[in-house]
Amino acid sequence: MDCQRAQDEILEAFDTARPADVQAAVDAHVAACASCAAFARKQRALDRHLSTMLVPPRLTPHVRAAVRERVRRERRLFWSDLLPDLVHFASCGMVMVIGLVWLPISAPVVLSLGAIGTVLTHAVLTAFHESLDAADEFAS
Amino acid sequence: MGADVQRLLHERRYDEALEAMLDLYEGKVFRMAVAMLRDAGRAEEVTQDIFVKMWRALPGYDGRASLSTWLYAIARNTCLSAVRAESYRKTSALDDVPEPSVESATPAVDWERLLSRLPDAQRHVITLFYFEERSITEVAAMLGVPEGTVKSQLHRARRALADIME
Repeated sequence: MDCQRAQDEILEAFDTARPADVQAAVDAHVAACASCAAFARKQRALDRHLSTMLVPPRLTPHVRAAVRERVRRERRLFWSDLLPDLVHFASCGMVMVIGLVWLPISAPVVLSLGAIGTVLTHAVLTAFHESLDAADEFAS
Repeated sequence: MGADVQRLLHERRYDEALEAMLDLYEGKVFRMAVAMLRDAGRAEEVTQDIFVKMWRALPGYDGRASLSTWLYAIARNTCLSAVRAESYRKTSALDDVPEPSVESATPAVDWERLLSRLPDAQRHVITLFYFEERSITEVAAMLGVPEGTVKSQLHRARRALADIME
């Protein structure tokens, strides 16, 4: 076994169990080679230090509570974002029903005008919301 | 446990699926964030971000990748964005960096500084290897790379650290 192979096997031993015959060959090489013996010593010391130093920190229980709170807040925001659109479409629907009942014009015309009105007012509402969001972002 | 989460997702019980995922992966995701960000406080914030992002994405989970692979991909991307944001913040605030203190000149081995001299990929691998109790398989899954890559990065890191220590 040459030095390169011996050092590779020394490194490998820290993460993968080595077969007994390979380990015996490495041991024999290390016993006879001062530089590989020094390499093995250094790597063992390094492994000890890293094991001591790289201990995972503990997660505080507040993380889970914070995740739950953020999810709750997002859900509320989702519904509060959706609410103006729901109110808008419901109102437009009601106006169209009233128009169909009361206006002396044909139903297809009322429905077409209602649809156009709904789309236009929705575009105006969306633009208004976006300008509010932009103003919020600018302020923060 | 993974099958339980799949069942919850199939039944569209996303909040319960989130809880189950927190039970399974909260610690691992946090350790991954610590390894990548090197700051436990910041890692806790990023862990929250990762699970909130995952909750948002749960309805779109298509089951093509395993849940852990899918979550680790979200975690990696979120951590990398946080690292980029953090390095930008540090570069922009160079004037705020304090002068080195007298204590920092002590001859004891400064492991944090030693590790920081490794390339990111090697540092992540070696940190996670010890955090995850020497499991190559787990580190490979977390970082989304083959086990052979983890091993070679680990060996390079060990050689480099030994050289730096000389």
